Amino acid sequence: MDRPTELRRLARLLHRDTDALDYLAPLDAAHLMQLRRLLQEAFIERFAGTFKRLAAGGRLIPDALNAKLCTGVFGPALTANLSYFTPIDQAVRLAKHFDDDFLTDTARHQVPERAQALLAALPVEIMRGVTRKLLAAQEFAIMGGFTDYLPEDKALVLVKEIHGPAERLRVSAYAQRKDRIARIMAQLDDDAVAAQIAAAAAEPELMHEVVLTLAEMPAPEQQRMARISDRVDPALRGALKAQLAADPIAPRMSAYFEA
Amino acid sequence: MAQTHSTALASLARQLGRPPRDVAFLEALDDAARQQLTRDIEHAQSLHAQSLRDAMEGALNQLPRLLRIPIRTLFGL
Repeated sequence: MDRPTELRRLARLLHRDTDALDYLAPLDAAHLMQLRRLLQEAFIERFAGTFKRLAAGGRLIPDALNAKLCTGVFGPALTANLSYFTPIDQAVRLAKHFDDDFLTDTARHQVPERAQALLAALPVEIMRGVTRKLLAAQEFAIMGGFTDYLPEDKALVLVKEIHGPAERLRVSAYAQRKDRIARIMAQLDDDAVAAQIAAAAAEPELMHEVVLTLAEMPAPEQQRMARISDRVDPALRGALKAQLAADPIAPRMSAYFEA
Repeated sequence: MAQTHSTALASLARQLGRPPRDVAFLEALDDAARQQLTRDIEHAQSLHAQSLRDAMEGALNQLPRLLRIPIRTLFGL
């Protein structure tokens, strides 16, 4: 688990810069995540009674009218909160009535952990439009948060909607499940991986994401990454090895360094 | 000191709507940090609550005036 990733997510929730959260230094990544989840739950629970009653009322009216109420009266913030208390099959039917703009605005207000069952049930076609809109708005934090809770097959389809290699890495900077990012990256073709490594080589912050992802890969994949890495820049692996010599992550990248 | 410590944790637990054992991991923070966290959470909760209240008001204002009071009562808005 990556602490800076978790700190960024918590900072966003608290409406603070990460620098303003230096006082949380004694908390490790797992504790920061625990704190963020408690806070998200507290946000949702504070108005849960109201949204449960609204969602119960929504079950009694036809989907088309319910969807019109969501888009025309409730708006995206209330619809996002209603989605936690709406039966999944109904939420999926409603989503099919919404356009990409409304779905995207609703996603901005959703807590991915709480929307996990809905993400599993929603057709990936509906999510494509949202992915494109979030990408256009450079909402990397939201995209990264959803990446952790999307079924992996859907995540792979959606990652392919992100054509910019640097943008893919910026999304992954907000995803906590680097093991999933590693499996997704492993499924990309050599040219796509090379483009990501080249983008990372140009920006040290992005290289950190590549390192975290590489460390989650099994040896054969790390060896493949090493070959692609050499194609991008033959000096890159040596430079990274020297840079990470004292870093505890280095032993987990031995197959990459020694290939 | 121990009392201040447990009071600060109890206050954080109340803010988050949890029993104190759920926030025991925050014992790693010193008093100043716990106080700052309390303030930051309060700030975030207030912004979040205000944005939902604004959204609810906005929704209600789109309904005919005569319907607003019964709907407020029905849904506890």
